[in-house]
Amino acid sequence: MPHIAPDMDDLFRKAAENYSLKRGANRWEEIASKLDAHQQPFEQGRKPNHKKYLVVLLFLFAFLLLVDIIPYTDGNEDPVHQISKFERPAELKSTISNANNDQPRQEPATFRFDINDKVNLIPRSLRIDNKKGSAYVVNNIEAEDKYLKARVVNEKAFLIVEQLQSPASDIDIKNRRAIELQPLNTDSKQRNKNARHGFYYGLMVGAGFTNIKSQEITRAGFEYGIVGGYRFGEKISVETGALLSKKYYQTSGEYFSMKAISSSMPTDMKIMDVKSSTDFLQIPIHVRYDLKNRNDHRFFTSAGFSSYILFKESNSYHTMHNGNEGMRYSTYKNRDSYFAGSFDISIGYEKDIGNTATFKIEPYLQLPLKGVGVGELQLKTAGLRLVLTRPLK
Amino acid sequence: MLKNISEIIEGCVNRDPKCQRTFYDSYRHFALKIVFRYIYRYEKAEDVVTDGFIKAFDHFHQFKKDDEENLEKILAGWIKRIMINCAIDELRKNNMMPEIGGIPDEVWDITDRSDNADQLLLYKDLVTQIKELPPNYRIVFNLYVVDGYTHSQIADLLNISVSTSRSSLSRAKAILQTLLKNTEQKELCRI
Repeated sequence: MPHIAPDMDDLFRKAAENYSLKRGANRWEEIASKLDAHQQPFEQGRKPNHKKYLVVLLFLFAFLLLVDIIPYTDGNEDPVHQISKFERPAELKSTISNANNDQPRQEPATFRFDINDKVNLIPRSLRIDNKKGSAYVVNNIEAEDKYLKARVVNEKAFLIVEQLQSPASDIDIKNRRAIELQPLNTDSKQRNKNARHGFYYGLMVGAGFTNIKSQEITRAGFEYGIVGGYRFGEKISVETGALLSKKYYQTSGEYFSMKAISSSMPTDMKIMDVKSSTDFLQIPIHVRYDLKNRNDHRFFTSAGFSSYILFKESNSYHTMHNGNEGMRYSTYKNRDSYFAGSFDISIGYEKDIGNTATFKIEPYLQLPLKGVGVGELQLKTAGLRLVLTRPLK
Repeated sequence: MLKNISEIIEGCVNRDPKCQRTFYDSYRHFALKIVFRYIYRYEKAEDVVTDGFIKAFDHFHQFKKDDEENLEKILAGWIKRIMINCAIDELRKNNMMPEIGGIPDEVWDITDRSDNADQLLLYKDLVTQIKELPPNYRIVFNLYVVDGYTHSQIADLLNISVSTSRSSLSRAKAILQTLLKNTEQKELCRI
């Protein structure tokens, strides 16, 4: 044995640095698969997260959309009571003076005539309050106890929207005033008329459960994005969109196709089950049919196809190899696309909000037409979408 | 060893698998030699190294490459710290229970037929002696003597007092001295 150096620390230090050890097995595959499973939290913390920016943009978009929805009001304005501030024409004053203000409130008898698209000149007897376009009152004294609801075009002209007839005995003055009030841009029939055809766009958020061959459901996925459509008439529209969606699902190994991964797995390895989370860009094309179309709400059904671009698929494989159970983790970023990957059907309810926007709630079902992902899995998704839209001006 | 260490680091920060693979291939033996001083069993040491690399790749963005000139040295120090921490964690997990059974010969790579062979044998014996120390003494000895930690750093790392660190070191040294004397006597008897 060689002579042992007197400085023990130095000797051990040299030994620790220079001792010869068998090179260990290369376990890169194990590290790589574990890294895939760890990657998500790291990416969120470190890499620029484009999803975050997208969400911020969507919120901004929603904000702009909502700003347009909220009807314009001028501070303390109360359109119903504002009329009391108006100076009534002399002719009307005499009628009002005969009315009994304490009479119980009754709904006025309303007679509708064809809405006159002709622009009328405002007669001198008409009093109009045009405060920043918030509300208008038109008292047509010339029409013998008939009152016009009208939309003011400018200081000199108006458009008759509706004619009302209110016998003095049926209605008190307060109610009469209220009927005559005609806020700008809030007439739902007029809006409906405008919305009968044309483009619209909006935002969508949704959540859904995905399963494969009626197996156990893991957890809810989610989706969000922009939608757009064209309304052809009162009943039919075509809708599309670009939705980022995440789906979670699991399956028994028997439904998982080994075609794509068999080369990277040991020969005798069997997949017992697989848990997946997958990120898609979803592009639906749906035809919508309105079952019931009321003034400010609608019931509809829609059907169509969704195409998918798969961004990322993270799979956890529960494996069996020579009698030993194990786990393997893999992430795939193949960007595979699936044209018409699912057939979609939905029913829904849509309600108008504010001046121009609509909000709809839409339960849906997606039935698989193609196998998706490395395992070519038949994903069936059921969920609920909330959509906010407005017409494209 | 690495053609462009800066690019490899950048790649690892950005989770480029090729760079990660290159980094792993370059440092895995270095890491194993560190961990094997702390962890008694070779297979367990390999597991700890694997965990250490995963930890390293997960935290690569925290690596500070301020000094471009000494990047390789800094990187080696960084990976060494990670491996040591992982090894200590593993020992803690087992409540610092000492292991017995010896170290099989096949884990050593004593294939050198030159004059250096004797030196390698000596080193093997010395490392074996370090590994035969009780885990808490082994850790302190390795940290202080081999890896250059101070007693206060050891105290912080192991959550012990500085005096405990000092006494652990002196006991470790005493044990090693006894072991060395025994080994020397055995060798002399053989002659």
